[in-house]
Amino acid sequence: MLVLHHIGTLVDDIDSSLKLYQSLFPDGRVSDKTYVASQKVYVCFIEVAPQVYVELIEPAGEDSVVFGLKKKGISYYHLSYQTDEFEKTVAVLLQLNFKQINLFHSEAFGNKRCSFFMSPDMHLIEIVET
Amino acid sequence: MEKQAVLQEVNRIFIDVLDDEAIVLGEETTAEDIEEWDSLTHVRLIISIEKRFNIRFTSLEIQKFKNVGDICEAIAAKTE
Repeated sequence: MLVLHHIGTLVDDIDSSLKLYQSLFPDGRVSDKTYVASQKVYVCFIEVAPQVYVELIEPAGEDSVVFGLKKKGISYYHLSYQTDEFEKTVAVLLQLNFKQINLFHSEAFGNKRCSFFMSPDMHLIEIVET
Repeated sequence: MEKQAVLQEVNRIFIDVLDDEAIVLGEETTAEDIEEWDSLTHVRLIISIEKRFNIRFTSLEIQKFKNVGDICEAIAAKTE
Protein backbone atom coordinates (compact mmCIF):
# COMPACT_ATOMS: atom_id res chain seq x y z
CA MET A 1 0.00 0.00 0.00
CA LEU A 2 1.31 3.41 -0.97
CA VAL A 3 0.69 6.42 1.23
CA LEU A 4 1.51 9.89 0.01
CA HIS A 5 4.21 11.37 2.20
CA HIS A 6 5.61 14.43 0.43
CA ILE A 7 6.01 16.56 -2.67
CA GLY A 8 9.64 17.20 -3.48
CA THR A 9 10.56 20.70 -4.54
CA LEU A 10 13.92 22.23 -5.39
CA VAL A 11 15.02 25.43 -3.73
CA ASP A 12 18.11 27.60 -3.78
CA ASP A 13 18.18 28.04 -0.04
CA ILE A 14 16.25 25.92 2.43
CA ASP A 15 16.34 28.47 5.25
CA SER A 16 14.78 31.28 3.25
CA SER A 17 12.26 28.98 1.56
CA LEU A 18 11.28 27.51 4.91
CA LYS A 19 10.44 30.98 6.22
CA LEU A 20 7.96 31.43 3.36
CA TYR A 21 6.35 28.04 3.97
CA GLN A 22 6.14 28.69 7.70
CA SER A 23 4.29 31.91 6.92
CA LEU A 24 1.77 29.88 4.93
CA PHE A 25 1.63 26.91 7.32
CA PRO A 26 2.45 28.30 10.76
CA ASP A 27 1.17 25.16 12.49
CA GLY A 28 2.98 22.76 10.18
CA ARG A 29 5.59 20.56 11.80
CA VAL A 30 9.12 21.12 10.54
CA SER A 31 11.90 18.55 10.44
CA ASP A 32 15.57 19.14 11.01
CA LYS A 33 17.63 20.11 7.99
CA THR A 34 19.41 16.90 6.92
CA TYR A 35 22.24 16.19 4.50
CA VAL A 36 21.56 13.17 2.26
CA ALA A 37 25.04 12.16 1.20
CA SER A 38 24.21 9.80 -1.66
CA GLN A 39 22.12 12.48 -3.37
CA LYS A 40 24.33 15.39 -2.34
CA VAL A 41 21.38 17.45 -1.17
CA TYR A 42 20.15 19.11 1.98
CA VAL A 43 16.49 18.43 2.75
CA CYS A 44 13.89 19.70 5.19
CA PHE A 45 10.22 18.75 5.53
CA ILE A 46 7.31 20.99 6.47
CA GLU A 47 3.84 19.61 7.06
CA VAL A 48 1.25 21.20 4.76
CA ALA A 49 -1.65 18.81 5.47
CA PRO A 50 -2.10 16.06 8.03
CA GLN A 51 0.85 13.69 7.50
CA VAL A 52 1.66 15.26 4.11
CA TYR A 53 4.79 17.33 3.67
CA VAL A 54 6.61 19.53 1.22
CA GLU A 55 10.23 18.48 1.01
CA LEU A 56 12.52 21.41 0.42
CA ILE A 57 15.59 20.18 -1.43
CA GLU A 58 18.72 22.26 -1.80
CA PRO A 59 21.49 20.93 -4.07
CA ALA A 60 24.75 20.80 -2.12
CA GLY A 61 26.85 21.44 -5.20
CA GLU A 62 27.04 21.19 -8.95
CA ASP A 63 27.60 17.42 -8.73
CA SER A 64 24.29 16.93 -6.92
CA VAL A 65 21.89 14.63 -8.74
CA VAL A 66 19.31 17.43 -8.90
CA PHE A 67 21.58 20.30 -9.85
CA GLY A 68 20.66 19.90 -13.54
CA LEU A 69 16.95 20.10 -12.76
CA LYS A 70 17.41 23.20 -10.64
CA LYS A 71 19.47 24.82 -13.39
CA LYS A 72 16.59 24.21 -15.82
CA GLY A 73 14.22 26.04 -13.48
CA ILE A 74 12.32 22.95 -12.41
CA SER A 75 10.82 23.27 -8.94
CA TYR A 76 8.23 20.62 -8.05
CA TYR A 77 9.60 17.40 -9.40
CA HIS A 78 8.56 14.30 -7.49
CA LEU A 79 5.87 12.72 -5.35
CA SER A 80 7.01 10.45 -2.56
CA TYR A 81 5.04 7.55 -1.14
CA GLN A 82 5.69 5.46 1.93
CA THR A 83 5.22 1.73 1.78
CA ASP A 84 5.46 -1.02 4.35
CA GLU A 85 6.03 -3.53 1.52
CA PHE A 86 9.13 -2.12 -0.09
CA GLU A 87 10.25 -5.15 -2.16
CA LYS A 88 6.72 -5.90 -3.31
CA THR A 89 6.20 -2.28 -4.35
CA VAL A 90 9.46 -2.30 -6.33
CA ALA A 91 8.34 -5.48 -8.11
CA VAL A 92 4.92 -4.01 -8.92
CA LEU A 93 6.42 -0.78 -10.28
CA LEU A 94 8.89 -2.70 -12.47
CA GLN A 95 6.06 -4.87 -13.73
CA LEU A 96 4.20 -1.69 -14.69
CA ASN A 97 7.32 -0.60 -16.64
CA PHE A 98 8.39 2.09 -14.23
CA LYS A 99 12.15 2.59 -14.59
CA GLN A 100 14.16 2.36 -11.39
CA ILE A 101 16.67 5.18 -11.21
CA ASN A 102 18.40 4.50 -7.92
CA LEU A 103 18.20 2.81 -4.55
CA PHE A 104 19.73 4.38 -1.49
CA HIS A 105 19.50 4.67 2.26
CA SER A 106 18.33 8.13 3.26
CA GLU A 107 19.55 9.97 6.32
CA ALA A 108 16.27 11.92 6.15
CA PHE A 109 14.34 8.73 6.97
CA GLY A 110 16.58 7.12 9.56
CA ASN A 111 18.65 5.42 6.84
CA LYS A 112 15.66 3.50 5.55
CA ARG A 113 15.57 2.48 1.90
CA CYS A 114 14.40 4.92 -0.76
CA SER A 115 14.15 4.46 -4.49
CA PHE A 116 13.27 6.79 -7.34
CA PHE A 117 11.28 5.58 -10.34
CA MET A 118 10.10 7.21 -13.54
CA SER A 119 6.70 6.21 -14.85
CA PRO A 120 6.04 5.52 -18.54
CA ASP A 121 4.50 9.01 -18.56
CA MET A 122 7.80 10.35 -17.20
CA HIS A 123 6.42 11.23 -13.79
CA LEU A 124 9.07 10.94 -11.12
CA ILE A 125 8.11 9.18 -7.90
CA GLU A 126 9.99 8.06 -4.84
CA ILE A 127 9.10 5.20 -2.56
CA VAL A 128 10.24 5.20 1.04
CA GLU A 129 10.34 2.23 3.36
CA THR A 130 8.23 2.76 6.46
CA MET B 1 15.54 -2.34 -38.67
CA GLU B 2 19.10 -1.62 -39.76
CA LYS B 3 21.51 -0.23 -37.24
CA GLN B 4 22.23 2.97 -39.19
CA ALA B 5 18.53 3.75 -39.48
CA VAL B 6 18.17 3.06 -35.77
CA LEU B 7 21.04 5.42 -35.00
CA GLN B 8 19.39 8.19 -37.04
CA GLU B 9 16.10 7.74 -35.21
CA VAL B 10 17.83 7.62 -31.84
CA ASN B 11 19.63 10.83 -32.78
CA ARG B 12 16.25 12.48 -33.40
CA ILE B 13 15.01 11.29 -30.01
CA PHE B 14 18.08 12.74 -28.28
CA ILE B 15 17.51 16.06 -30.05
CA ASP B 16 13.86 16.12 -28.91
CA VAL B 17 14.45 15.04 -25.32
CA LEU B 18 17.52 17.19 -24.75
CA ASP B 19 16.14 20.04 -26.85
CA ASP B 20 19.45 20.44 -28.65
CA GLU B 21 19.46 20.45 -32.45
CA ALA B 22 23.25 20.28 -32.49
CA ILE B 23 23.48 16.74 -31.15
CA VAL B 24 25.19 14.33 -33.51
CA LEU B 25 25.49 10.84 -32.12
CA GLY B 26 27.97 8.15 -33.02
CA GLU B 27 28.08 4.59 -31.82
CA GLU B 28 30.84 5.49 -29.38
CA THR B 29 29.00 8.47 -27.90
CA THR B 30 28.57 8.20 -24.12
CA ALA B 31 27.00 10.33 -21.40
CA GLU B 32 30.45 11.83 -20.87
CA ASP B 33 30.18 13.46 -24.30
CA ILE B 34 26.81 15.18 -23.76
CA GLU B 35 26.53 17.54 -20.81
CA GLU B 36 22.76 17.19 -20.40
CA TRP B 37 22.83 13.37 -20.42
CA ASP B 38 22.56 12.70 -16.69
CA SER B 39 20.88 9.81 -14.86
CA LEU B 40 17.40 11.31 -15.00
CA THR B 41 17.74 12.25 -18.64
CA HIS B 42 19.00 8.76 -19.39
CA VAL B 43 15.72 7.30 -18.15
CA ARG B 44 13.71 9.84 -20.15
CA LEU B 45 15.68 8.86 -23.26
CA ILE B 46 15.06 5.17 -22.65
CA ILE B 47 11.32 5.71 -22.16
CA SER B 48 11.16 7.80 -25.34
CA ILE B 49 13.03 5.11 -27.26
CA GLU B 50 10.71 2.42 -25.94
CA LYS B 51 7.67 4.41 -27.08
CA ARG B 52 9.10 5.22 -30.51
CA PHE B 53 10.12 1.64 -31.31
CA ASN B 54 7.31 -0.01 -29.33
CA ILE B 55 9.76 -2.13 -27.39
CA ARG B 56 10.60 -2.63 -23.73
CA PHE B 57 13.97 -2.84 -22.01
CA THR B 58 14.59 -4.67 -18.77
CA SER B 59 16.46 -2.98 -15.93
CA LEU B 60 19.39 -5.32 -16.61
CA GLU B 61 19.53 -4.31 -20.27
CA ILE B 62 19.44 -0.64 -19.36
CA GLN B 63 22.27 -1.07 -16.85
CA LYS B 64 24.44 -2.70 -19.53
CA PHE B 65 24.19 0.22 -21.97
CA LYS B 66 27.64 1.80 -22.09
CA ASN B 67 27.22 3.93 -25.20
CA VAL B 68 24.83 4.81 -28.01
CA GLY B 69 26.00 1.79 -30.01
CA ASP B 70 24.84 -0.55 -27.25
CA ILE B 71 21.41 1.10 -27.25
CA CYS B 72 21.12 0.87 -31.04
CA GLU B 73 22.16 -2.79 -31.04
CA ALA B 74 19.51 -3.60 -28.47
CA ILE B 75 16.85 -1.73 -30.47
CA ALA B 76 17.88 -3.47 -33.70
CA ALA B 77 17.68 -6.86 -31.99
CA LYS B 78 14.20 -6.14 -30.67
CA THR B 79 12.87 -4.81 -33.99
CA GLU B 80 14.17 -7.57 -36.27
